[in-house]
Amino acid sequence: MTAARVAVAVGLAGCVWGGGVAGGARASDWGFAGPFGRFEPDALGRGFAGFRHDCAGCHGLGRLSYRDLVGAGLDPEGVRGLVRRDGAGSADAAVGGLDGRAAAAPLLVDALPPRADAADATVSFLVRGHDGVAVGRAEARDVVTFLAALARPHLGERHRLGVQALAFLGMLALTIAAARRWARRRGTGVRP
Amino acid sequence: MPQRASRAEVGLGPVAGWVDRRLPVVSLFRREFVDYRVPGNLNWLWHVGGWIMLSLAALIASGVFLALAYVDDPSLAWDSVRAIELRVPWGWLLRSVHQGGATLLFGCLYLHVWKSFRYGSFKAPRELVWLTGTALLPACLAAAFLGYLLPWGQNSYWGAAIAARAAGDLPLVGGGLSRLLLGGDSVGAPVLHRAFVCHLLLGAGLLGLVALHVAALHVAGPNNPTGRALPAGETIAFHPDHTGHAVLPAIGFLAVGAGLVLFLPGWLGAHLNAFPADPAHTPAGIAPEWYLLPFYAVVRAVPGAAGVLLALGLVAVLFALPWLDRSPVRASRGRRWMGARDAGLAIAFGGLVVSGASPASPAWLAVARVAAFAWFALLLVATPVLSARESRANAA
Repeated sequence: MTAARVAVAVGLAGCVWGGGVAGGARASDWGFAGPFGRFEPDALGRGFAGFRHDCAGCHGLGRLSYRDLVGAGLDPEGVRGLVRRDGAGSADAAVGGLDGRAAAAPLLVDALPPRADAADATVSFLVRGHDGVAVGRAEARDVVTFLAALARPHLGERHRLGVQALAFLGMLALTIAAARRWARRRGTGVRP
Repeated sequence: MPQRASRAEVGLGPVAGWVDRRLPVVSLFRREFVDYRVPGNLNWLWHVGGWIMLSLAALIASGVFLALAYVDDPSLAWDSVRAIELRVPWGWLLRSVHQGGATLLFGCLYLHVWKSFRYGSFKAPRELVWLTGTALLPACLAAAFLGYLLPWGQNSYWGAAIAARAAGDLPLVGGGLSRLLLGGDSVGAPVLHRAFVCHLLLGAGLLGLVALHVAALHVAGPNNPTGRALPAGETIAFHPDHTGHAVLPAIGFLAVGAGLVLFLPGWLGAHLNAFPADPAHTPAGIAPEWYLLPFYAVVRAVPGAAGVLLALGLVAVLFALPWLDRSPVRASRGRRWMGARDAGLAIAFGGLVVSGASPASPAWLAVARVAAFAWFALLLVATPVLSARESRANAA
């Protein structure tokens, strides 16, 4: 029983500690940092628009399709609107832009993995400007949010599932521990 | 307990009985996984073997579905992995489970090996348990390395290049082995296809090795923290008594796994594999996943064929352990010098991991050399000397 308690305690402590690591010790107001972080769909939409306007001249997104934007967390209705407006025909069409994946690497290297400090550094980089393009801080934040969402899609769903899984395992452990205590009182428990 | 004693006498149902008379799998299962006696004094380290099985099950289950969506062609592999993350239903979860499962598997494997050092679980009559288990280690390492090539990111590509060069450094077999890995003279499409096929083969082959390992364990019976054979009165039934003790630690393990997969995906992952392979651009700071770092640290710290042979030797030396340590006493508990050896092995291993993760500065390379030297000295020199001295003291 001692071993079991230790294992459960270590598990829970690990999750809390891990959440702290994911959140980053340096406090930041990035909505996606931390164990309950999620990407805000509006910021993602603005970030994608900003990327297209100011970045896509040199940097591409590979074979990213409109459907992938939904996976990254953009509002599905907004993406359907984009498909119509661009005359793309279907959500499986590529969003376009240059196929300059290697060119985008210096930008993405700081955005991956989506940690608050890496995101802050990328915002500073974009605001300082490069190749004759500099953007405002608000737009830079949105673009970085969009890039971070491509690096870690389904973040809100992931964290929601994480909370559910830990809650389920916690309740399962408590139920089993209680059932065992009850069985031991009746003298029918497992042998110690 | 009367209801327990009558369990074995209860006949099988009509269907199970019909099957069992023709193929006795039901009674085999009942004998080995229900009525089987295990020591009643096992501590939490004995649950780690079960956690390895859980990790392996998660890896194989997620791996089958990943393989359905993955394309093993250099021009398509990267995009197929992006599609798994973004488009395939639950693909992001499958990939995280597969990545996190590998970390959990190796964490448990290394702990499981250390438990055997600590409690002498490799000694007679369990030599074959040890040998089959030790064979699992390089099989898992190879599977993990090959799997890491599949996303065809920068680390995959340059990792393959480094491994092929290291294999080429080996005396006699080097050139042939390197060409066998690469399917040619340079890193390209054949190596990716070979990695995919061998990754799947090894994944399935691991199940066979695990079956042998468990079969050998069930013949000899599990060791226990005292290292001495227990009288029958101090054993308990595998089910429901042992399984009852194992269930809460298993839930704790699953909670750690869920935390890793759902809150810290890619936490231990190498940064550079977030970029597609670019043969024209060698990135700075290529490093493998944490569980391969000890071997990487040795290859990096000792140049040429010697480094490759020493890295392979880190695991190879383990096969000889039952014959290096001939002392009849199994557990290190209460044996000061054997306890120091156990601690030394853990520190040497940790030193190799940390050195492999650090920049290749002269100081960190020296740490790797010292740690590798300590690993071999503790196993090849200290262990036989200590065990011979103890055997003499016992005889006197």
